[in-house]
Amino acid sequence: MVARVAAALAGALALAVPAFAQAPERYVETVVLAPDGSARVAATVTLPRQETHALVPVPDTAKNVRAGEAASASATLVSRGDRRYVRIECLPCGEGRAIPLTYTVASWPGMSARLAHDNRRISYGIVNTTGDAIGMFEGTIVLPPGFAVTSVDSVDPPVTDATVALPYVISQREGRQAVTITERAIPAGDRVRVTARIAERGSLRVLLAVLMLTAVAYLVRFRDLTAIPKG
Amino acid sequence: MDARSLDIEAHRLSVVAERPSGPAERWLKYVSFPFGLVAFAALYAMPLPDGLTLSGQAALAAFVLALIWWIGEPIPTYVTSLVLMVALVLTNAWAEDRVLAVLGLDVIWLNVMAFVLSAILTKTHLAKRLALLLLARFGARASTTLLALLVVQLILAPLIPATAARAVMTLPLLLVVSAIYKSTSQSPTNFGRNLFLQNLFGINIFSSGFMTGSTANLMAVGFILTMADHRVYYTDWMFANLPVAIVGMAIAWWIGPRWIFRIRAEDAHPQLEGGLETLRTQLAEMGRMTPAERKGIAIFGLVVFLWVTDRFHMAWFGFGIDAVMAAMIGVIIAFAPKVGLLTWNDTDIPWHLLIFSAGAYAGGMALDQTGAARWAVQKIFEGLHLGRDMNFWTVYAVIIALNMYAHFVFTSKTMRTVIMLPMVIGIAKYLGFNPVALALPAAFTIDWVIGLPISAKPNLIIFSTGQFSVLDQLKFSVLMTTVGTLLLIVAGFTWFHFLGITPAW
Repeated sequence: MVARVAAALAGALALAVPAFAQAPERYVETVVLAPDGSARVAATVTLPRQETHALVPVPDTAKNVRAGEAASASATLVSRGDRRYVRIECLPCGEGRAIPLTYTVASWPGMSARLAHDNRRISYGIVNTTGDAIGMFEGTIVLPPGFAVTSVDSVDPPVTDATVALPYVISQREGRQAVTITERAIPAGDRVRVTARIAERGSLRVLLAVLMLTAVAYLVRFRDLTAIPKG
Repeated sequence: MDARSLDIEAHRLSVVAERPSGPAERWLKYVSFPFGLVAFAALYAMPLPDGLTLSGQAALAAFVLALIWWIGEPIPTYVTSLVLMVALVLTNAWAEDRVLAVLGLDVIWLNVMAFVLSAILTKTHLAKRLALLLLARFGARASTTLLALLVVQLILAPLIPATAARAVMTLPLLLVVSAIYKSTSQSPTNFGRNLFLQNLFGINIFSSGFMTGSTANLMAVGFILTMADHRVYYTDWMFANLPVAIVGMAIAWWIGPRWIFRIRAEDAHPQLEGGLETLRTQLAEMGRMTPAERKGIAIFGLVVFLWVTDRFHMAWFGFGIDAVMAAMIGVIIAFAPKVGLLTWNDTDIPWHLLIFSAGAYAGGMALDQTGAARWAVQKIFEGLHLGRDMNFWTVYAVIIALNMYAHFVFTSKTMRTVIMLPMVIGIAKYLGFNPVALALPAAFTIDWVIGLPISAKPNLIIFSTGQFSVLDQLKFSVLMTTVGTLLLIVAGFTWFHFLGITPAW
């Protein structure tokens, strides 16, 4: 079991995190997960001034790759070794070097199958596999409708006593829970990652009914507590 | 009252005493049960707020339920702890193995060892001798008795930084003194409430007078150094806050028997036929110190020596001996055949209390580790809308109050410091104030952990006496926490300004 989870995590890390031929000044992405495990990814890659292209690794099942609406930008699926990338390019590159990128994934590799308590484990983040520092990374993973983060199991870099602000934020986006990681300057070889368990919240009606009945039963059974003791 | 009542073997901590409840307490019992369930349901079922995880929400709901039940006591406190542990597991707030592992925490072990060590003082009658010595000199009136014991706590504070160790050392003494004033777990009096709660207060807040008083104090100094680039020295801390701690203690000593738990005139003197003279006679009858007493002093002395010299262990032995291991060494010697002086039957370990504390720590740790405590504090800070247009003293008062009252939701001083201090420094920088002017006084609140039996280790040890309820402690602590807040605000205007910590007003 542990080995399978470890393998899944390793796979998730290898596939779910983007890497670049050249480090971008800024990389912002939003991954929207669906209940069936598929995902829609919208990203913005800001290239350094001297660069005209970048390679973004994507999961094997990525499809429908588009480089936004800009006519001067293109996005093409390519394979290098056993990994798939999107090659995004701007020709000519204008003043705005932020290239929008969208694609879909049939099965998001960073999400595990069901675990105990109907939880699923998600691992999300970025490994800087370029030779340069990434100026700034902001990644958001939006959970499937009805799902919420049960617990954050680990954070990379680890949270210590000296950590002032957590590197992630849990928030709501259009009625769905989302986890956002923001990191300034990720040096080459470093990574930022959050591993969390998520679960779909079940109905609480039975539990609430039992609690209320217990409360009423107590009030009836222990009403002698309100009586004034004789003498 | 006969002399036998001074032999505290008769007052077994492991026996849960039935205490009669007044009308108000009975009503509180009655309403707190359904109120706890409603609070749990409301918190558990509410839409998940930003920043909170499902497990954090469940931990918060379970902890609030337990808090309400600990205060109202509709069921015994140790049963509430079991409910809390079950709730944490069933709601998926915290994993079962982690909840169960709490019973193996160092603090629980320290409690077990502490109760065994206490048995040395009781079995050898050392506690009785010390109590008689103290009372023969200072015990004519309740006020001087209380004061003498607080002075003992003040003297011990810089010598033994571990607050739990100080509680262990003084617990048997307090039990004998309370017996002399006829306050027992079966029928506690207001003298007993004052005695135990004031000593609990003293044990905690005298630690705030010294930079080395707790690990959390040192962490705060570390944050101030690394985030505010200001080094706080031992004497800076002591000169600034020891007077505040002493004044706080003096106020508690003054208002405790008069306002909080009013001591009736007839309870304000030793309840022995013949009064002080009987005590002196008993002391004389005890004669010279027995070999068992000397052995007890040697064992206890060794443990205290190890507690006091912990910073030198590495240099002396090549390894460190922490407070738990030092106590365990003492216990091993105490149980050793021929060398020691105890058998297991001499010990008196209140397991109901250890179950209570295990549940409480599980709840507190779940709050910490699920991020619920951090979330709650952040929400409060956000809700205050501290803006750049606010003057320093408004911010100062808010920061002091928040840091002071935050101890009601944290069971760990360290965790509270880790969460609160960086926020305070960050707020100070954002508002353009000198961070030290806010962070150092905020750090002075770290050891005011008197709120509940679970707020600190010594609280639990003192709570084991059964001479005050959670509600009694809450009454005392809310008032004294408010006094502490006001004291630190006044000190900010005056003493801290004189020392150059805070600006002019």
